[in-house]
Amino acid sequence: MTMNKIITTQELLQLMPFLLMLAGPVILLVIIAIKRNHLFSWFFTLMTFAGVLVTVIANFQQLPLNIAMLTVDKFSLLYTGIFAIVGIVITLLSHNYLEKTSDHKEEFYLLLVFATLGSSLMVASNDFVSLFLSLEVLSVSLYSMIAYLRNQDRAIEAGLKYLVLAAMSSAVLLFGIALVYFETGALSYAAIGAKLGKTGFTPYLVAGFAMIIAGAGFKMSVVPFHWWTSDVYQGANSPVTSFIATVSKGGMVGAMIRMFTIIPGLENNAVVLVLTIIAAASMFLGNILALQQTNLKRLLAYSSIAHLGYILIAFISFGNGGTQAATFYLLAYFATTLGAFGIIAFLSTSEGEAENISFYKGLYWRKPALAAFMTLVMFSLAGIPLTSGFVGKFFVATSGVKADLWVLLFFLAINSVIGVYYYLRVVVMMFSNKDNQVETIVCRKGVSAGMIALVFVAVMILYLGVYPSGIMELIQKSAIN
Amino acid sequence: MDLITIAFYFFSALTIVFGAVVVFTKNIMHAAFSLLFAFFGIAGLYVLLSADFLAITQIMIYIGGILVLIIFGVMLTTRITGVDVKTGKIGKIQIGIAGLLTVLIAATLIMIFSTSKWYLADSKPLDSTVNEIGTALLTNYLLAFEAASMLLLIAIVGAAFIARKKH
Amino acid sequence: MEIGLTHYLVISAILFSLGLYGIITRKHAIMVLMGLELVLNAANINFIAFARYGGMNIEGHIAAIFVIILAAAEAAIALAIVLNIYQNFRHVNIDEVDDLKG
Repeated sequence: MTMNKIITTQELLQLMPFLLMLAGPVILLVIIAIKRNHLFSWFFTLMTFAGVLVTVIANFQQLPLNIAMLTVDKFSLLYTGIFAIVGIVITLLSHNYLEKTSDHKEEFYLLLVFATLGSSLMVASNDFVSLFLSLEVLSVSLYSMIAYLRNQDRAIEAGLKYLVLAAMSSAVLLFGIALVYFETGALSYAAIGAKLGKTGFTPYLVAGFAMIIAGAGFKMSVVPFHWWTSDVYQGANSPVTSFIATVSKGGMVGAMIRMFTIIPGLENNAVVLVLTIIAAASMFLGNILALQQTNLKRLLAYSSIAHLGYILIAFISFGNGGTQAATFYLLAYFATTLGAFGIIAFLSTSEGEAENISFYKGLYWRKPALAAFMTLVMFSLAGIPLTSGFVGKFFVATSGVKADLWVLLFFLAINSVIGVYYYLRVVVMMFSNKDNQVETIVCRKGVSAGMIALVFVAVMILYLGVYPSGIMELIQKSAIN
Repeated sequence: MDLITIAFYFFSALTIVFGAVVVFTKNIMHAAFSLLFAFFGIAGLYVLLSADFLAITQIMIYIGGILVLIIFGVMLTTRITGVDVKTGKIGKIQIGIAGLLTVLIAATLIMIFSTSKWYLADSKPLDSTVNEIGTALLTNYLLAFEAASMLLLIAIVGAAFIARKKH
Repeated sequence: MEIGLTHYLVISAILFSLGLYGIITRKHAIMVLMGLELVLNAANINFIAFARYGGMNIEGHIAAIFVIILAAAEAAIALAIVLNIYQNFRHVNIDEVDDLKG
C-alpha cells in the first residue's frame, strides 16, 4: 500500500490558485441556488480571479511542487496569472453583454471560472492523464459556454459543431496517448522521456505523437484542424469567443511547451517537419481566407489561425529562446484579441452583434475614442511598431534566426504583408464615409466596466509594445528547466 | 480451442457486428439498441483482459447511463411512428471518400498493431483490480479524481442550463 | 493461435474506424454521438489491453475510468444541445443546421 503520503499545508498553499478556481464557482453555485443576483455573481467572479492573481504572486518565488501529476512551478503560475487577468477582462466585458442578451446570466460566470481552471491545469499537467482531464474540463465548460445564448439558433449550432469536433479530436488524442502508453509503459512525461532516452523514437511512437499533435492542433486551431474556427467564432457570443481565442488556445500552447520540454527527442526531424508544414499552411491559409471576409468575427477567426502559425515558428526553434518567444507572442496576442472582441462585445446590442465590417464604416466620426482604440488593436494585429504585436513578431523572428528557420521566416514576412493589407482595410473604413449615419450606436448605461477593460487592454498593448523587457525578463525567469 | 479463445471470438464478434450495425443502419432505434450489444461485447472483452472493475463500470455507466440518455434523446427528438426515425445520409461520393479513408486508417492501424514488436512485460493477472484502483484513485490520482468530479459538475450545470424550459 | 495483445488491438482498430466512419457520414446528431462513443470505447480497449499485457500496471485502468466519466459528461451536454436544436429547428440533422456561413 502506498498510503503514506499526506498533503502538507505548504503544498495546499501552493495549490491555492487552482483550489480558489474550484471553490469559487462551487460557492457561487450554492449562492445562485438560494438567490439570483447578476451584479453579485459578477462581483464574486471578479474577486475569485483577483484572489487567484494574489495567490499566484504570493507563490511565485516558491520552489516547484510536483504533486499528483501536476507541476506547480513558475511556468504554470505565470500562465495561471495571465489567464486570471484575461478572466478579469472577460468578466468585466460580460456584465453589460449578458445584461443585454441573456435571460439567465449567473451560470455563465461559473462556467467561465471552470474553463479557466481547466486551461491552467493543462499548463500545470506533467502527465497525460491530467492533461486529458484538464483538457476535458476546459472543453466541457466551453460546450455550454458557446451554446449559452440558447435562444439564438447560431449559438446552439456553434455549440453542437464545436462539441462534435472537439469530442472527435479528444478521442484521437486519447488514441495517441494509448499508443504512447504502450510503447513506453508510462503516462507521465518524465517517465516517457526516460524511456525514450533508452529506446529512441520508434515509428509507432511517431504515430502516437502525431495523433496527440492532431488533438492539440484542434484546440490551437491550426491547419488542417481549423475548420471549426470561423463558425464557432461567429456563432458564440463575443465574450466567449474572446475566451476561446485566448485562454483556450493559450492553455494548449502552454501544455505543449511543457510536454516538448520534458520529453526529449521530440525535436527529431519527423516531428519538426510536420510542425513546419502545419505552421506554413496555417499562416498562408489563415491570411488568405481572412482577406475575403466581410464579417469581423470571421476575419479574426482566420487571422487567429495565422497568428498560431507564427507562434509555431517560435515553438519549432525549441532551445533558442523559442518557448519564451512563443509565450511572449501569446501574451501580446491575448491583449490584442481581447481588445478586438471587447470592442465587438461593447458595441453589440440585443438585436445582434457588431460583427459586420460595414458597421464600422465612419466610426471615427461618431465615436472617435473607440475608433482610435480599434485602430490601435488593428495596428497591433498587423504588427506595426510600438504595439505589442510588433514586439511579439520581433521575438519570434529572433528565435527563428537563431534556429536557422529561413524558409519559415520568409513566409512570416510575406504573411505579415498580407496581414497589414486586411487589417488596415478595417482602419481605413473607420475613417471613411463621414456621412454614413445608417447605423448609429446607442449609448447604454452600465458600460463603465467594459470601458475599464478596454482601457486596461489598450494600456497593455502599448506597454508590451514600448517596454517589453520587463515582461520578457519575467517570462525568461519562469522557463522550465 | 479453449474456453477463453471461444469467449474472445464471441465477444469480439458481438462488438464488431453490432458496432457495424450502429454505423450502417438507417433506423435510429436499431442503432441505439445495437449500441447496447456492442457495449456489452466490450464489457466481455474487459473481463477477458481481467479488468473486472472496468467491465462492471462499462455496463453500469455505458449501458445504464449513457445509453439510456441516448435513447431518451432519440425518443424526444424523433417521431417513432413516422418516417422520421429513418436517418439520412450524405451523398454517395462523400460516403465513398469517407469509406476509403476509414478503410485506409483501419488498414494502417492493423498493420502497425500486427507487425510491431511491443514492449511486453510478464503479465500476471490479478485476482481483483478494485483494491488497486481504489488506492490509486485516492492517492496518486487524487487531484485527477477531483478534476473528474468537477467535470461532472460542469456537465450537470451546463446541461441543466441549456435544456431548461424557455419562457 | 493463442489470444494475445494483437487480437485486442485489431478489434480496437476496427471499432475506431467504424466510429470514425459513423461520425463522418451521419447527419443525425445523435447518430454522430453514437459514432463518438464507439471511438472512445476503441481507445479504452487499447488502454486496458496495454495495461494487461504491459505488466499489469493500473494506470491504463485509471485512464479508462476517466474516459468513461468524460463520455458521460459529453453525452449529457450533447443531448441538452440536441434537445435545444430540436426545439429551435424541429429536426436535428447537422448539415441542415447551417446559419453560419461566409
